[in-house]
Amino acid sequence: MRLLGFELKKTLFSKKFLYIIIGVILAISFLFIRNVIFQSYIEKQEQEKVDEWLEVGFSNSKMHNGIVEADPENEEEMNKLVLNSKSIDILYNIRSNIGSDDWQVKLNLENEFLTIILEYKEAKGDHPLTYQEINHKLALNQELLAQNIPPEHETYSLALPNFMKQVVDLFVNYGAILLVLLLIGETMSSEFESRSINLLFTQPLKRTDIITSKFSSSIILYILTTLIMIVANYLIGLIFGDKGQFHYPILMEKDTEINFMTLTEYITIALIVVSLTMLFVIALTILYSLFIKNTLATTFAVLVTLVIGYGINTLITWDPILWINPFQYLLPEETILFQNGHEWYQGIPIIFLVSFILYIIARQKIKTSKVD
Amino acid sequence: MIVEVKGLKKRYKKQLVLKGIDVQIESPQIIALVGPNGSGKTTMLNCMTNLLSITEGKIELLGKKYTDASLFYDVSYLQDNRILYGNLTGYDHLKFICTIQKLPLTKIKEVARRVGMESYLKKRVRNYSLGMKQHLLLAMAIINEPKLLLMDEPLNGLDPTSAINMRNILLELYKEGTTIIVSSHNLDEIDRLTNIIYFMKDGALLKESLQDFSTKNYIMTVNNPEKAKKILSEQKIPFTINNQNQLELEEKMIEIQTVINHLNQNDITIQDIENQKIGAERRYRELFEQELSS
Repeated sequence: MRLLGFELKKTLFSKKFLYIIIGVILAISFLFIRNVIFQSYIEKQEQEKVDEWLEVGFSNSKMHNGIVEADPENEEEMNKLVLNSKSIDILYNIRSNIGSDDWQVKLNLENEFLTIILEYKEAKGDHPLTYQEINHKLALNQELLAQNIPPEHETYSLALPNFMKQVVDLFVNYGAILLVLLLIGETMSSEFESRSINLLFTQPLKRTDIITSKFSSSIILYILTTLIMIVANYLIGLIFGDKGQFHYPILMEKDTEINFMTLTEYITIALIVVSLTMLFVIALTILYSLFIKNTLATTFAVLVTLVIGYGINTLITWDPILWINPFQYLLPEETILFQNGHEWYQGIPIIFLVSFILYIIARQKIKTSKVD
Repeated sequence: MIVEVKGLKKRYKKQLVLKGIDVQIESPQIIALVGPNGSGKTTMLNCMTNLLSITEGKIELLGKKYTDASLFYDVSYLQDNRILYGNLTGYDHLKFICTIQKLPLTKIKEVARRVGMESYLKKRVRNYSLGMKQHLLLAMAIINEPKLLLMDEPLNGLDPTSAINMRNILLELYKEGTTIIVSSHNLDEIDRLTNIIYFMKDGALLKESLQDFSTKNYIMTVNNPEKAKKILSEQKIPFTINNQNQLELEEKMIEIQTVINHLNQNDITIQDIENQKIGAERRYRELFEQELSS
């Protein structure tokens, strides 16, 4: 562990680290500014959606009227016509309430509309909204009403918790892997490229200590950068955003049943699983660096491995495979929100195990590693 | 035994770049490693420090196998400046060595003063000149007062003052009992540092002590070279005349007092007599004549 401090210093005092931190803060700021700019668009978007559904309603109405006129005894069509007319009425009501501050009235109206559409679809009526969309939206609205929490826009929310979720979503899906590859991707390979590894190899150090310190410093740097990202995210949301609710419900499926977790739970789980995956990526990167000794080639090899791993993951739908699949949290949103036949934590043991095995192999490899 | 290298061979792909090197050093010495580029000097030093794998042979430094990392408590290797981290300061590098070598941090100032880098110790290495980097590398190599110091081209980029300073430090270390193996192209500096030279050519080693050549030639300036030439020829004494019309006599071939007597008896005045020491450059010229002419 004598090396750890030196390893950390090498990165912490580098321009690259500074640029990454500035980049993270700027990206969060830009995202927030975008949300501010798009606030006026939210109402317009709602208006467009209602107009779109109205058009569907009018079109369906024309079709049902035609059939009923031709066959006045057709009860099924008559029922559809009635339900469709009801939905149009509710949509007019929704449209007139778009600018209203009374979110409960708006949610209740939306639920009324969705219930009618559900009935309409069950009566074999045609509507672009799917059963899943309707059921999920209905459940979420009911949960919000039950908890007395105003709804937030999924993409352009200014509420601190929802904005944090938005940033965390981007981080867990793309940011973390990018961060690890930029920050840690060259931790080992650049030592070979620049020959600075010679300095470490000609010190009274066990070579395995080099791997341990590289591994530890990479994990510390990842955690540190993630913490900076979370703090920057929190501060920007806190200073410029709205208060919001950290127990805002996030809809999920548990064994095909609709369920909810709080926004805090979602963020925590997402950060846990992505951080564990990054542990695996760090171990993979360090091991590959020892074989390839070139940053670009190592990064490419790591990316190819991850893409192949994730590809296999999506191809195999057999749930028990998740116990032995270390790639399942690369895009973790789906794993967390759709826990059908599996638990979100199922992949944790295998990730620990594979990372540990990669670490042990790297320790063995460096013992015989040469600079030629 | 300080250094014991036996039958060291190193193969790169199909090419044998070290062809069975043998080195035995039993007592502290300064040894210069001299040879043209690609002759295998750096490869030999890298093999000795386990940076490169060896194809065949045995290496022991200070009685320990070369793969034993603990030998670096007593062995230092001054390499090229690519091993330095640009975003760290000289102090950071020395602190790192102190931490790894379990040395007190007070050593940092001590060694910085010794190599003359106190003024820029806390500057980032990316702002160092080539000479400043060499100073730092030297400080890193000697901070642990090694028993064996291996140096690969330590004089690169040094101004004359720094070169003299480095030479003095190396001589001090040698007097303190450090064995130094230094590879260099600077033959003048080598002459001032040592007369034990290992010439390397195509991966093979030719060990020579220039001490053995120190009285090789007598250079004699006389008042009448033509007459002297005639007398020496009559006496069958081997000699040559150099381009300054001086007599050159090989020490091994003659009895100098006899030559002086013959010349004096024939009224030839010896104006000057110089016992010429052979230098690294001259020996290098002799050994690498073919390369030089091509």
